[in-house]
Amino acid sequence: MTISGMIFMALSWGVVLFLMYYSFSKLLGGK
Amino acid sequence: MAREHWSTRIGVIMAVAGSAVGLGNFLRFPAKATLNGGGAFMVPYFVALLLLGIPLMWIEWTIGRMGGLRGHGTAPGMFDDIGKRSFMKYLGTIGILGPFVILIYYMYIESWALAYAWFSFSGALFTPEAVADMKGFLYGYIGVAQNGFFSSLAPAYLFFIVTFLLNFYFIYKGISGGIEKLSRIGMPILILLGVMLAARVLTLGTPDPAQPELSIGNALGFVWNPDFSKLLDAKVWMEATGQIFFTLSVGIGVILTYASYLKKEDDLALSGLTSSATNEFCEVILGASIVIPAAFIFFGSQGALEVAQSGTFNLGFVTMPLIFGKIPMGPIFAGLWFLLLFIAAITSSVSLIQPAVSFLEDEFRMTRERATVVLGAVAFAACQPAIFFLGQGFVDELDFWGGTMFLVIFATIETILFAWVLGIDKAWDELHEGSAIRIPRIYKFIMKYITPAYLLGLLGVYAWQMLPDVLMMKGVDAANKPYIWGARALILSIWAAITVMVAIAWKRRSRSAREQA
Repeated sequence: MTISGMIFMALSWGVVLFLMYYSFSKLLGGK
Repeated sequence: MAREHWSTRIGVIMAVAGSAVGLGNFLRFPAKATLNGGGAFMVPYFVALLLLGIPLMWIEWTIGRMGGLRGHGTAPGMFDDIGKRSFMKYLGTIGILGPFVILIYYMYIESWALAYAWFSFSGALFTPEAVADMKGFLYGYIGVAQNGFFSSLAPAYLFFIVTFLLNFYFIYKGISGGIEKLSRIGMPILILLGVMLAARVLTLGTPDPAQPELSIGNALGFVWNPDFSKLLDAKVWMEATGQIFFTLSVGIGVILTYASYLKKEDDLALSGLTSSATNEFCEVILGASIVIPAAFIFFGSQGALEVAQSGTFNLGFVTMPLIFGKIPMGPIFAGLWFLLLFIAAITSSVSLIQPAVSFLEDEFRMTRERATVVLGAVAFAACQPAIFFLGQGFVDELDFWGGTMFLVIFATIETILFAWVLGIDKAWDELHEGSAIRIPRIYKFIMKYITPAYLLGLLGVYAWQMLPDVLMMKGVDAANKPYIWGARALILSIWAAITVMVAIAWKRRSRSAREQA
């Protein structure tokens, strides 16, 4: 796996995990 | 007759996510990403997610809740209320037709996953060891070829009946008692199975020390190493945009129906975002970590490339059993894989049935039980040609219309209705009514200008590039042409029936309004 491959995988996972974290933390902590 | 409601917020989110997460997340996405630039594919993919997928999700949640509050669970009533023109209700018929057309073939494929899970756990699947044998097993099972594995279509038909009855059982039990329960139990199991299978693949290391290049690191590189030259290829942008459509279940009409069972004060913005995020987790993280990396480790880069090009069915039902045959406890993992596919499929197929049931309930005042039985009889009859004429191009034709063209047409209509006919200011306020989050204001601009322009562009490209060839049956074997005409006749007949029913329902409604006045 190249460095750019790692970066793209990390970025893609990062975006999705951020979306999951943001939405579920609001959902469980909100009204 | 009072309309049903979802009993919990997480229930409706899991139901929408369950509708979105399907076979495409685990089979279609990894193959598309690998063949279209690896990591670079994610650039147009995320652009489409942010400018098209998530806005459409919010649009459908909003139109759906508005419709439900006025007693409509499907697009004809919703479009009629927003559009205020008599022809609008007829445009909405696509929102019932599209899901039904997909359902006709989807439920049969879903039944294969159930059958293969059974074959895996019982050990029957592990007789074939070569690709040709495994293909023979699949083709024998679905009746496309005569061979020693299966002597008739009877096992496939039996599993189809079981799958069909299970689907209609959940519909019969209703929104909160059936679909919500299925999704609240099914989705966590699906995610758990996905995590287990991804963990198994990601810990394969280098199974054959004699071939150190076939390692998990190189396998992930095979999927993710970016090929930036692909970003200049318009086809790659089209593939990424198409994938966003398929994966989020937008443009079909099912989210409208699910959202119609929300209450006025229920949140839309956060719920829509959460169901999208759950779908993306199952696609980008789980989907990309199972099939293609495993294929690379056991078949090498050339073999994995051929696997990715071989199509969804071969990937799921031919390649994966062979891979599981090569690892310890293979039958168990194969069983879990097909169970995952089955859960992913059934949570989607119930959502394809519900719009037609809601239509009968809301517009014809049928009880849910009666609507389920009536629709079940029609759906059972409609599924038969897809089972018996699978090898003759019948399903491909249904898939082109139900799974591609109708989505883009329907999404374009609802976006224009939302942003331009209802008006973006009113639509924005409606979207935020009861909302748990504030959506960044840039999305007001995106939903008014960017999303419709994106959709119109996509519609133009589809109509220009794909439609003429499909209409003229380019490359279709002459022997299959009658079956393609049969598929078209079936779609047109269903559409005509829905259109007539809409006309009758509205006539009755205006007559009863006159009588009350």
